[in-house]
Amino acid sequence: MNSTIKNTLELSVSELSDSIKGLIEDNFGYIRVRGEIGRVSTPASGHIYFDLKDNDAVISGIIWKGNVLSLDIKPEEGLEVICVGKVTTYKGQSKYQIIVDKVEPAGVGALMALLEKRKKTLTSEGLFLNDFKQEIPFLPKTIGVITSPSGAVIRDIIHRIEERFPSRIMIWPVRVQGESCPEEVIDAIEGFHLIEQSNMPRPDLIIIARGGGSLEDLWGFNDEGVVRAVFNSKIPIISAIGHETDNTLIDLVSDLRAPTPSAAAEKAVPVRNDILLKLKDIDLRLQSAILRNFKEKSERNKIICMAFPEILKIIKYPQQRMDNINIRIRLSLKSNLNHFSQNLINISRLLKKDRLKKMVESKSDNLESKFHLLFSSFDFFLMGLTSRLSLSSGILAALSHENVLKRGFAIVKDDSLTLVRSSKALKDNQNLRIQFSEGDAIDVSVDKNES
Amino acid sequence: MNKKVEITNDIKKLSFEEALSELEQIVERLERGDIELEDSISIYERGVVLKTHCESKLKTAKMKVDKIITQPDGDFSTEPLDDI
Repeated sequence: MNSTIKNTLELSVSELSDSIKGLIEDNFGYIRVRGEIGRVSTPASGHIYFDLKDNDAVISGIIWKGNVLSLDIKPEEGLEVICVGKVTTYKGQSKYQIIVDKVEPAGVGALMALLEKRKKTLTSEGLFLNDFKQEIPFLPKTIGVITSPSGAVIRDIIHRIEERFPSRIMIWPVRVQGESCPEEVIDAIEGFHLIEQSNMPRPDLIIIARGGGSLEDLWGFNDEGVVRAVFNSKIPIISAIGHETDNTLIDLVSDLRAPTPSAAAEKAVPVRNDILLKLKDIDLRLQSAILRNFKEKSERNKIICMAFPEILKIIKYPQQRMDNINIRIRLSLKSNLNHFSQNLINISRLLKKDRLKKMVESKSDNLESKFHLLFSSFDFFLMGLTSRLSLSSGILAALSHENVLKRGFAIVKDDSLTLVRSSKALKDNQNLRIQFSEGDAIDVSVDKNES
Repeated sequence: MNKKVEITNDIKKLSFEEALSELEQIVERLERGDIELEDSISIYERGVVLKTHCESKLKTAKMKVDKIITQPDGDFSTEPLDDI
């Protein structure tokens, strides 16, 4: 054993290391290794160093700078991947490692798992809350578009904006897939915030857009750095990544999510013609409103003016009452007059009699002389009559009821002043008037029950 | 109505949307009609200026597409994008 060892060719360290390298490289060649990405470091050199591990083992991995740009996804800690490359050794450190050309996620499930985990973390941080969403300006002056400078997406956006509302668009070209995508998108968002320093207008709206693709293709828009850059943006951002069914984290964090790039353009600017029509309509309303206002005011004025004749109407009623009273006064005056004139007639009738009397009196002087003659002749005749009269009156007085009354009798008359000669016809409570010789007559009431 | 409307500085500062929404408020106020005649004239006049401002904003709408070029030193410049 010892002699065998002694006889063995002596190798230098380098010779041995090269020999091991050769053995390993020849034996394994091009391989696919599945594992979870551990610690990743990206030094300034541009190469990516990372650990690929499973439960029991770790192998170092290197992606040379030249391959980094062609990676579909950026190696991220925790991601289950399949690395394609060559196993080799690093003789400087007695280390074996895998030089990786391609990194593929270990199935969609691996990406989904990472996505879910990240979504959960960022959600718990509150990055997706609606409270943080900024309002999209109604009419942005300048629209920044972060997307690939070639392809259908930018064309769709430009054409849609042009047909809706021609605007100033600034395109920030980025790779929309691959390892460098997140970094470029972050630079673009930050760049738009700083663009004023280069005497260019800062956009008041940013659209980040990308066409449809696989989860892997869209992976850059699930990047945590991108999500944070969008969250921190002071400029409102509309995102349109992939199709409506694609759910990337940038869509959750953006201020507005559009299902497609064209839809993003629609949400960015209104239709100019619609606004022109609206403005025309508003103008019309403005003109007619002010005219109507004038008209209403002048009509009110007119109504107020028309209210003045109304006042005549108001006094019409009292006037009517007054007219009425006037008529009645006249009528009553007339009737009063009639009354007085009747009196006058009556009086004048009396007056006529007086006049007649006067006439008679005036005539009587004339008559007197004749009357005197007549009187003297009558005198005798009268004397005769007088004596006859006194005789008769003596008899009359004896027969007069007054003398009878003086003797203590009384005259009983009923209501109609008819002499009551019998009590038979008298009714109960009937009034009777009793006339005594002296004093006024008195009224008594019949009370038949007592008799 | 051919009189040229002078857009005052305070209105110039307004964004299109601000001007439009103020214009709409003015129209609504005027349409309600519960406004003094003199006030109605002054807000109408403001409405006309706002309308002119909005119109001019709409008329000046012009398509311009630039592409940002990032210089190696980190500075930016633009070039017209005409190959779309």
